[in-house]
Amino acid sequence: MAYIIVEYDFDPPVTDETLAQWTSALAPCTSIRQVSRLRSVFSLDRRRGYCEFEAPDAETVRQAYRSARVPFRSVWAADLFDFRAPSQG
Amino acid sequence: MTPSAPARSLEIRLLGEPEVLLDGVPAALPASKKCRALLGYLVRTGRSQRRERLCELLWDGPDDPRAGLRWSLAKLRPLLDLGGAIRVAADREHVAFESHGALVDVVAVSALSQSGLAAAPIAALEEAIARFRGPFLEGLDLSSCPAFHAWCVAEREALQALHVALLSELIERSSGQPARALGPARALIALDPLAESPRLLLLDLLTALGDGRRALEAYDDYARTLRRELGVEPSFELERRRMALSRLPAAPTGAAPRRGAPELAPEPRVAQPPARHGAGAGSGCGFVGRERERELLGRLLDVAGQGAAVLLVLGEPGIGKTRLLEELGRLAAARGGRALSGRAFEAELVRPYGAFIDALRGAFPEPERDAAPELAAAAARSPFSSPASDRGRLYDAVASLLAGAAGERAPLVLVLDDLQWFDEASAELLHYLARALRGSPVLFAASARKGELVDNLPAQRLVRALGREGLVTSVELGPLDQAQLKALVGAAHPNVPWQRVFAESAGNPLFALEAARALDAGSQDLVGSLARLIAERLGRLEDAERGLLSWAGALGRSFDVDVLARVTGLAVPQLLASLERLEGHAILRSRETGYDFAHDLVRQGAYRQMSSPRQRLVHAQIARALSAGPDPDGALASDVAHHAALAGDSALAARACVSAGQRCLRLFAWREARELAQRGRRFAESLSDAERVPLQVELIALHVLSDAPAELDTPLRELAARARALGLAALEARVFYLRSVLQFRAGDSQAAFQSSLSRVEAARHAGPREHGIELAGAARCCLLLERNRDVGEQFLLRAEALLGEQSEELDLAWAQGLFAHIRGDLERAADCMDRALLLARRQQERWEECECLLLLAWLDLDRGRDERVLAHVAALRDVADKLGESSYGAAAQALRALATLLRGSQDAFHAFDASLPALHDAGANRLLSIAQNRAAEFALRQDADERARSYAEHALSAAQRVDAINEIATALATLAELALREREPERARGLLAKLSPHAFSGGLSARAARAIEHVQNLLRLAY
Repeated sequence: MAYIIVEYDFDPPVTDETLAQWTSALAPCTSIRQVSRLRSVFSLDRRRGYCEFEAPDAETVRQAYRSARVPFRSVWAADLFDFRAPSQG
Repeated sequence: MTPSAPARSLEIRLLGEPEVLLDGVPAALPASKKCRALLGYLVRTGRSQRRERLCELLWDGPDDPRAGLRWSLAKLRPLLDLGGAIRVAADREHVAFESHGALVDVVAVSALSQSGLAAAPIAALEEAIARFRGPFLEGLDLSSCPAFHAWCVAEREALQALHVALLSELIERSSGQPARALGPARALIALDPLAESPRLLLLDLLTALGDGRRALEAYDDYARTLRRELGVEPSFELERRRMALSRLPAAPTGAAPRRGAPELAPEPRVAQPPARHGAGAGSGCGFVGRERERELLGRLLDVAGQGAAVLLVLGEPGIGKTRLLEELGRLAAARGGRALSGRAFEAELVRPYGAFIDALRGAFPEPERDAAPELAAAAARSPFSSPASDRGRLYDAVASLLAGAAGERAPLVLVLDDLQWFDEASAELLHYLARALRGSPVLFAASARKGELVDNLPAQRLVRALGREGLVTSVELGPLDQAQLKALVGAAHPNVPWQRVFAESAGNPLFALEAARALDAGSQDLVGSLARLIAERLGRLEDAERGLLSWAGALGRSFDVDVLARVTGLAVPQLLASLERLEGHAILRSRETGYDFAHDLVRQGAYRQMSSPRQRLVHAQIARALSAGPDPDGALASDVAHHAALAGDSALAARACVSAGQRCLRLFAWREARELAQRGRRFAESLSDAERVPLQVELIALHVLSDAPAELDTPLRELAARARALGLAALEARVFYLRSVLQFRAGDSQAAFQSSLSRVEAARHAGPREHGIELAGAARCCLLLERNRDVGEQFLLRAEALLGEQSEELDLAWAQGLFAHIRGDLERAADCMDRALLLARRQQERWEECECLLLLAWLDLDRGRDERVLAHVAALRDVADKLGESSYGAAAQALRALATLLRGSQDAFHAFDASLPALHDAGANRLLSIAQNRAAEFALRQDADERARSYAEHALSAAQRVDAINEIATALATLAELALREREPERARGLLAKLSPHAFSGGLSARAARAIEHVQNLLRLAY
């Protein structure tokens, strides 16, 4: 499995309710593709954000998003460097 | 011939315990309750009854009912068939009671009622009343015979009503003779110990008789009964009677006033309304005292924007907090500035940002109803009317508004009364504004009852945070001293003994003014609470105004005239006249947006005038009126919930909690949304399934959508089951939507997938078209991914059955194309995909268009139609450019090269190789595997074995990353064929063995299966 990042830009800023709706729309499309969401991060002004996934590859995540009609700016595979000490992980 | 037996008098009494009297002597009745019940039923109905009916009524069970009936009749006959009279007339089918001169008490009283009570002589009334020894058929509560029991209860109620009517008529006729009416009045009380009107009547009668002692005893008795049985205090009317009693002698004097207008002590002289100086319990008399505090106000205004942003005024109720804040507003205006006032609302009302909305409403009046559209559009709007997309923007909008207003007229004072009732959203907003507007000439001024702040966690946190950040100045108001109180009281009530007022009020200004009013009105009794003084003052109002105040008190501390008109049904001009008079009495104060009670204690006094049953009715009326009227912002929903709850209307309260909660979500008031959700769920508990389940779903949705961390999946699962049991498919689907949100948030993708499959199934009753569309989408998803192919096939077949094979649904055409492709029917697949492409273009769905073009290109590649491949590729590149980031451009490049390979060009391999990095960078492993498998096949055909191996190995690696089973199989088949070419059959078998059966769900595509079969045949033939 690969570590995948999905990046977003929102203009106007996205609402939390819209995020919740997208979460719901994505659920079946990601689950059938064995894509697991790890974490999501959104700026306080809700103008940008990213989500971290574990997925077969970036294209799988892209397809899931397109199938669910959830917009994104880019999707890319990444290496994760975690600088926290093991006891803090 | 038998000589006739002497006539004997028979009397049957059913009012009270059943009795039969023979010549005036009670006879022994059969012990059987059913037998006595049969007697009562036959006598009361007075008509022939079918035996079957009687059996159903009293003997409905496994035992022989007819035998039971026969036995009872056998017991009744000796009792009733006397002196030759056959009173129990029975044949095989019917039974009847025939009176033959027997006297029956219920018949006698009913006959009197039918002839008209008003015309009946008093003696007849008294005689009829005397017949009521107790409730009808007293003691015969046959709970095992529900039909009889229901009939008996209905008869009891009807006869009790008759009893009440008789007593009331007698009392009416006894007007002028209170002693005569006492007995009937006490009898009325005995019939309904909790009812108020008989108690008031008794007090009036005893008062008329001058018997103060017994009247007080009667009052005390009733007050104790109310507290014990209902947990409520006596109503205002009762209190008024009691106060009048204190002026009576203890012994009766025999005075006999007219009934209906009992002569109480003369009405105290009504005080003239005080001179209006802006009205108010504490205002209207000029500002008195508080010199130190006023100096502070002036200092704060002079440095507004440079020092602390918030002034907090603390003190007990009535001490003058609001009055001080009004003075602050006046001082600001004197400096060329402006004050906006708002008040927080009682906790039950859950109005997020209520105080701010209140304050800003005055600054942003709604445009006139008939205003021209452009004027209406241009009119300034409060930020809360058109909420922002998120909380930050909302806060920014409010800050900008206030900063702008302060820029026009400085300093700007925002007065927020009753901080102890602040909701969390308001507390956070105030904290934000206090920080954001540092440097602007804005001063926030809040009042709070110190003792009640401890009950409000958000308000407490706010005060502590402001203190830590040096943003608040607090001042606690103490009682006025003698000189100050003398000045306060003396201005409006120069003739009252101010020392006495000071002693009674202990320097509390509100108490002092109420006491002064009472003394001015002639009242001597100042003992008791401020609430009692207020109640007395309200008692001196005209009935109509007092009644209006009850409605206003139920609405709340502040109310709109429109809303009051709506709930009372009074015409606005009449209403305004009454409100103006009440303003003159310093009970109400007018504001820009409606009216306020002068003080919350005045509102409470107005509200408590009503008895509890009346309060419930008033709240019910208010709830209905508010919910039926216009509410574009949804701001009234919380009020509807509050009033419906007090009225005991759980259904309306629960529904209103949903609406109010949804409004809170729109205003980002998360905590308030969850609070309303919890309240709503409590109200919904008592409703029937059909009403409760949909409400509970929406109430849980408030929790889910406000991102609460609570464990909600279990209640959601239960609700899904309930919705299914009720046949509410759309509701069930909504529950699965909420569950998938929760599950996906928790990272549980498998559960989220199951929830979404359940959602498809739940749509089965939503309607054939809706269900078909859900199924087509699910089919397309499964078939596109080559995972759960059998599930996808089932969904497709069901979707076709519901929508029709040639339906113009994009997902259906696409799923059909994918399925045909998997089965190897390339022509059909191409037809379906052409149809899907047309639909995608028509609906301007770019991603779908790309996918259709891509599959069409692969199909044409497999069919050897290189020109069509190039055409699709060109179209694909155009659409991909508009799509944003994607792998379609790279895919188009790879396909173009493959199409060239079809023509036999060797150079095309280089072009193909050049397209692979882009696919690799895009992380498009499935496309990589498909493309490289095709290239491997071409290479194999051209005997470029090494190239074929390289492509197949890379295809296998890419396919394994995304578990693309068909490409795995195809790559293995190619590698196995290469192994056979190298005369290594074992290696070939080993590669084929990797295709273990359990790795495939639903079988391979026709293409992959053909590749495997081909190499298996080679293996068989050669080895």
